[in-house]
Amino acid sequence: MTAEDTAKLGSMLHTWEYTSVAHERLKWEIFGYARGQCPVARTEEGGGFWLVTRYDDVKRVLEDWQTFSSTESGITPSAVSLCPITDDPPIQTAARQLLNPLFSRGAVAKYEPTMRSAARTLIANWIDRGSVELLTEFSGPYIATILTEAIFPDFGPENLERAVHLALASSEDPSPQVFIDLFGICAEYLTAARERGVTEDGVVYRLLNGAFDGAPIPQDKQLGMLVILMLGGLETTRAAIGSIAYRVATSPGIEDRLRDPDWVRRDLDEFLRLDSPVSCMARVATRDIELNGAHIKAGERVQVRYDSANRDSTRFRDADTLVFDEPRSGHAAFGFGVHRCVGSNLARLQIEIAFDELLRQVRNLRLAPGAEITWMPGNSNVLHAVNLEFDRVG
Amino acid sequence: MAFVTMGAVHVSIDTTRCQGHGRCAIIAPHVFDVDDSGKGKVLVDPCSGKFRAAAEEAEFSCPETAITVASSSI
Repeated sequence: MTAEDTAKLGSMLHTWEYTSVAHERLKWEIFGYARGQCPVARTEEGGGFWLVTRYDDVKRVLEDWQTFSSTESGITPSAVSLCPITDDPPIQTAARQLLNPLFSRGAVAKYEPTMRSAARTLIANWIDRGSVELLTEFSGPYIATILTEAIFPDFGPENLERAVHLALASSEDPSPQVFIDLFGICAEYLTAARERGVTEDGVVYRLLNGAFDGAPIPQDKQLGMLVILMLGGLETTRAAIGSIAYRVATSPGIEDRLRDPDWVRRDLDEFLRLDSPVSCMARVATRDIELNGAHIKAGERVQVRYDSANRDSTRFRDADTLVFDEPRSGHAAFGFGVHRCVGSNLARLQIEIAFDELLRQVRNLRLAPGAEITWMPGNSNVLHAVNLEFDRVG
Repeated sequence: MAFVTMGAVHVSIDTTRCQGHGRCAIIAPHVFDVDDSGKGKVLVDPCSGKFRAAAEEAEFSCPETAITVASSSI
């Protein structure tokens, strides 16, 4: 790298703006430079952030919730509660104790028939065509259908369709109005559930009957919990399935690995490490603290880069490529500490079933001629589009 | 009998560190499970030497470094 290149990366790092297309294009180079030269870098963009880029520092920040509070955990802070991701313990702990059992490996297994049926319905739409845009024609509607059915049981087909549509819009074409509408439909559902009463255990039952510190859960927290389960579960897993499909289509031999059911145990986490579906989250310092040479003051915000941590070559050999068949230590894709992703078991099963159903019917996945591969800037590592061609099995 | 216990290992999870990633139960299902609250639990301790490699892979893979696998003196 020339001195000029280095200066350019340094300059881009210190003006890092997470929605910038220009920054996104050079993201791995910028964060690679940061991890080597300036692991906790200051940018004034987006209201000002300390960018945390090394694996060890990311882990340290996420594990120290007393010093790094989640009250402003969105890169763009949310004006409304998105409990538990915008709360610290003890409320965060109470919320997770309520939700965790609903998302254990055992508990999410009951959604497998819904997953298979959603996948088959979608695949039938384009199997004869020999091509697919995987995000809008498969992974997006697949995840939206599962989440909506899991979170809003008994909502009626018309409402469910509306919820799926809004959930998809929040991911594919987010606008303030979409989020307002999504809050609206969740509030509507909660009101209806309160009126009719819910007796079967599930997300809504627990929101309505649970307690924080002995008192009923405030309604704004109930609403926030419902909304974040939709938002948190949708974009991330939609992105993960798209990215894995892209890797399968462009890396020889990987499709065969995915035909062995053991790939979920053996290889799935390596895909999640390389293309971390969540790119970053934010924290706010509660006290002055020194972090790897940076002097962070109380009240200043920190942008914790999960994706950069997952490309840290001091932690992962050949960190910028997929490396299978050797043990990899824990990656940062689901976060660390008390806020670690609540839905990882659901996500893993959704990914497993998606590829199981897909690869039963298609083979020789490859990029369609002229397919453009570009990553979107923002909170997620997600491709704009994954245009694929394939042959039919059998 | 010596051949049964040879290489047996002690396995433990620090539940204050565990955040329920569940990697251990996926990597070494004979040694670990996840309880109803979502936290990892050890199924057999000490565990037989034949599961040692899997238990050690789980220890290495644990994102919260909550797992300890140590040689057993038995």
